[in-house]
Amino acid sequence: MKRSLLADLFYQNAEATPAKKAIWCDGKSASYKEMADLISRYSNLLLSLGASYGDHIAIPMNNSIESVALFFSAADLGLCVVPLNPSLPFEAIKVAMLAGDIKHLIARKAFLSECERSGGIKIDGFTICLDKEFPGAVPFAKINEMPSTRPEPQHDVDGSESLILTMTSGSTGTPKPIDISQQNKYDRSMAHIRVYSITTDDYILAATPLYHSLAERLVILPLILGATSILMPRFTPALWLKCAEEQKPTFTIAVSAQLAQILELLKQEDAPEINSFRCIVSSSALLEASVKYELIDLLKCEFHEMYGASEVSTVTDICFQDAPDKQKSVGKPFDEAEIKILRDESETDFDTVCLTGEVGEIAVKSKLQCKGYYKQEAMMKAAMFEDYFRTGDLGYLDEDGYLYFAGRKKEIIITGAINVYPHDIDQIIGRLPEVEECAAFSYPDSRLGEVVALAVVAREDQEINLRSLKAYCAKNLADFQQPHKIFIVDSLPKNTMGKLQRMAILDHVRAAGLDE
Amino acid sequence: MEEIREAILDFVEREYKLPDDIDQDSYDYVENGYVDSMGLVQFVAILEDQFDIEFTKDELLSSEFRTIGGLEKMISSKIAG
Repeated sequence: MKRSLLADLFYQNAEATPAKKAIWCDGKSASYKEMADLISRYSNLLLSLGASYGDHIAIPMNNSIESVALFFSAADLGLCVVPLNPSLPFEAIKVAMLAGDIKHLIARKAFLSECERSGGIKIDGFTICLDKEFPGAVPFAKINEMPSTRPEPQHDVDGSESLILTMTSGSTGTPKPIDISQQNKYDRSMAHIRVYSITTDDYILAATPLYHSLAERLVILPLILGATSILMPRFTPALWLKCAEEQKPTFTIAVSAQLAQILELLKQEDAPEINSFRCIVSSSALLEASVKYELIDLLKCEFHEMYGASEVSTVTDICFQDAPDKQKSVGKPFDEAEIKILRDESETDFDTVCLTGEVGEIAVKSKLQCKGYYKQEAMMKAAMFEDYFRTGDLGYLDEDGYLYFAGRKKEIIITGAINVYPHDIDQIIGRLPEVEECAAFSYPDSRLGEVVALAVVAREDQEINLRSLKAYCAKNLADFQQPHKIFIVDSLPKNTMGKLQRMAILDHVRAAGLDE
Repeated sequence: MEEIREAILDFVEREYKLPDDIDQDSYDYVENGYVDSMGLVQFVAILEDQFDIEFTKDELLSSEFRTIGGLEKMISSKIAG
């Protein structure tokens, strides 16, 4: 029978280097042998509970060695993991689970209790409680009774199976589950191994949540290569420095908002000396030039910037030390990717592709592209131009084929590297009877790059109580969707057609003297 | 006091259980990443709503707010008025 390539590669590494450190997370380490035992036990547990090929398992996921083991068990059995952000409000979790065709659930007790309090979620398969016991759920501790031998294959696993569905929309708007197959995860890993010359000697640091594709890549890659994964349970700049000092990672892809915070601490007198990195890659948003140079100076390693999207993985990369005359670029495409810059359709005469230096929407054709949005074919089709994925970002190419980022076309707020869809927030706040209309918008923030702000117009003869509005947000929106600033305004800026001008709201509230 | 601590822990331990070997009173849950800058906005709103109190800007920036024991005391004295 055909077996999972990802699981096969991992088990081969475990066979070849059983004593080598496979992973570290939150003060605990596992060797390749220990990790192989854990993955096998996890697979046996899932099988004993009735998991079968093609089943989808939801998990409000935290960063832990067990979460990583689940990815590999799922790969080995041909299952699909649907990692969810545990901070999502219950309603959003329910919508995401429905969109992800969930059969089984793995969760902590607090989550299961919250489910029960909020009316429950229909689970046809099994439920595993990760900590303690919960009525109707199988305690995760049962894993200790399972054999540590890799289970015999139950079904062909040819690589086309969905391995992970990453949910991109956080609230009640239709979620876009990005469908990543096993083969796709493998191809993405191999491309990064090649571009960044990653070897078995590398210690690869992941410091973002595992329910995002970046950290998934950073933990799967070392384990199929035979390197070491360093997984931070939570991120703060101080924890990052401590982890870097103690675990001595050699490679990481960090989000730019994190790097800016890390630099602040690194510049302090009592900061530890971090000298283990050979290469750091900044992703998700452009890093300020000054931050970049200071980091290069302090960390003394190769410094790259990449551009990409979860749907198409990394598209371009640039090493700043190698391209001194291209400091503002996000680099040249990976071998797997091709870029087209598209003109705005409304301005299109006959040629839809921009000229060199002309700003348009960045569209990407890549061998690393995901399978699509799970059961949302129309949505994926709408995001395509021929066989190019429209990223919603604006940019241009120079005469040497380097890409430059020039802003965003899609109305999206990126806070600490998390995409927030303002429309999701508008919808939830718009349900309040005292709200005539409202709009979430991007507000600049020195730590997170951007944060969510909200402009609200009250209904005639009604008043908006700021405190109850904040409490409503706390209960009905995820943490990354919380408005850090709320402005009560008389009107929202609109164009002559009555369309909301979201990008103009900040100027609008400032002009009204409300942002002080 | 018990209800206050429970409310604090409910949120702080939403994703990760606190380590067993710590002094909870002096434990800095912000420094240790249990509540990040995004979660803080939500955390404050939940506490203000649940206990019918309001934190000032200075209180939110104080070191007392960042420890479990300190925050518990802060809320308790606010309730007492």
